[in-house]
Amino acid sequence: MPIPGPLRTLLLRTTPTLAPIRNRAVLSVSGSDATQFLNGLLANSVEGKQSYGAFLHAQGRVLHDIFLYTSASSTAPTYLIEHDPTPSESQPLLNLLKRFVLRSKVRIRDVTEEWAVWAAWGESSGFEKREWGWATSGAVEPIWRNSVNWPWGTDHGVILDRRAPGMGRRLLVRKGDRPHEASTYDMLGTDAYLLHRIMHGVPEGSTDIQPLHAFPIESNLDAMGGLDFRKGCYVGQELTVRTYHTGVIRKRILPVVLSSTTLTNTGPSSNLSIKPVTPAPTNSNPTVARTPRLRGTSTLLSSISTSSVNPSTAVGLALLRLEHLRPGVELFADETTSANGQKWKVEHWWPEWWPERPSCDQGAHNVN
Amino acid sequence: MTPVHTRYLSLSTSQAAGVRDIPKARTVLLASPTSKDLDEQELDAELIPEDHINIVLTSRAAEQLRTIAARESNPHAALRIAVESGGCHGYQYKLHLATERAPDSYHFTHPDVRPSNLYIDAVSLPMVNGSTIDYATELIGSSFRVTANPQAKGGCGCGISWEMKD
Repeated sequence: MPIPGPLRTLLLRTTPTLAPIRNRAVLSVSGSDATQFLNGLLANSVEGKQSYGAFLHAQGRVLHDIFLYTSASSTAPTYLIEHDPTPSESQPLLNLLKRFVLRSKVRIRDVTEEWAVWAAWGESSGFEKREWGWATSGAVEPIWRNSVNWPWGTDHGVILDRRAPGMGRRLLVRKGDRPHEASTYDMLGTDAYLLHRIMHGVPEGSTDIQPLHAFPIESNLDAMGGLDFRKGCYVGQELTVRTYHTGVIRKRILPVVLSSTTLTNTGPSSNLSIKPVTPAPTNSNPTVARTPRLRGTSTLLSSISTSSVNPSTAVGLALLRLEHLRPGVELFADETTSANGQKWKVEHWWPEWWPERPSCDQGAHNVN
Repeated sequence: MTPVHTRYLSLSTSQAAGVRDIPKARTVLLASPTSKDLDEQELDAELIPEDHINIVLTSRAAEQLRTIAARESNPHAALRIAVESGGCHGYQYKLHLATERAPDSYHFTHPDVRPSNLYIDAVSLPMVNGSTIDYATELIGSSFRVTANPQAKGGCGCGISWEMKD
């Protein structure tokens, strides 16, 4: 199902836009062993360049999704790790990293006070065509081998946000300074970035990628270019690579449209359960009878009210069981148990950039 | 320092049970680093009080260390144990043969079988304290092993790396 047309026109901003990204923390990791240290811990390979990735738990769950910036430094390699510091079941990233320093020549400091994070998008960069590699499990990854330049960008503190085509750039700016784009771009609030992210199907931070619960591939980290399935050992590699080769991906985070039957101006709360409803079989429609009983629930993650466009609607991201996404099955998120709660109809769409899986007879071309 | 192939020096937690019935003894601590030593090495480690240090050496490991010292004609020849970050569970042991104690290292010996030198640096000791050091003889090769580490849990399929208890 594609995104409903009118919604797309109304919600997708295609003019140059700048918005602050709130609630992000920055750690500085420097020292002669910094590259090797981070490469042993991050699920993406670290080779002195900027990128996007995640720290995983030894049992393969995500702890923190992060952006890795390089910094213009004097002598030793210096990286800046931008992440969501919201307290969760996982330890703060600083404590987590410090446990692995041991005798490595690495210095880790919290430098959140020095930096602000901005997103810039809507610049005319042309349509980006991407190559994809599929695994039989359903994991998919972008292939950058034809790109002349490093995909995530080489300007210190400016990351080309390749998590999805059209995401734009991510800017790490000294706190108090304004990005130079501020004079020419439309300057919007932090909600504009959330909407931008949802419309592109890009999960981020602890609301979408729940620490110690989320799996990296189910959270689209493969498709967003945050996982390297061929590098050597890193914490959590064992389960991730086994899933890639021999597992089956049963869930994905996808954008959804939420509509309430009653009038409301507020969006739904996060972490709502989404349950499938199968219509009762009828004689006129016997195929419905063949639908097996659907087990389990899906989960609503970030969402934002779009009542300015359409009353009683919202858009969001949801961790959806792929088995539930079939014709005839309707999804609902019910929060009527709480005060002012609504019952929301949930309709997903696959992001426009999401690659089409080659059919099985042709053999998924495995990029090993 | 002679590096030894790590494949034969790895820990497998399933082997921990095996050392229960083997003759072993709590080691004697012969030397400790001072806080001045650690400062000079720029190491961020806390010294453990002597009565909290407990490293056990099996008799067969001690005998093997004595054999190595005799073979090398060096009474200071030793096994050096260090913990490094790495592997898919976060931590792994590095075992090497050493010829002298580094200033940042603790020096252990079996109480009866001597010389049987064991060096563990100040950063690694808190992560292996309470372990039993064994020398396992198997058809595919014999090796020193760190077993029954109370700080460790789990481990990856290949048995090389392990996870720290919280």
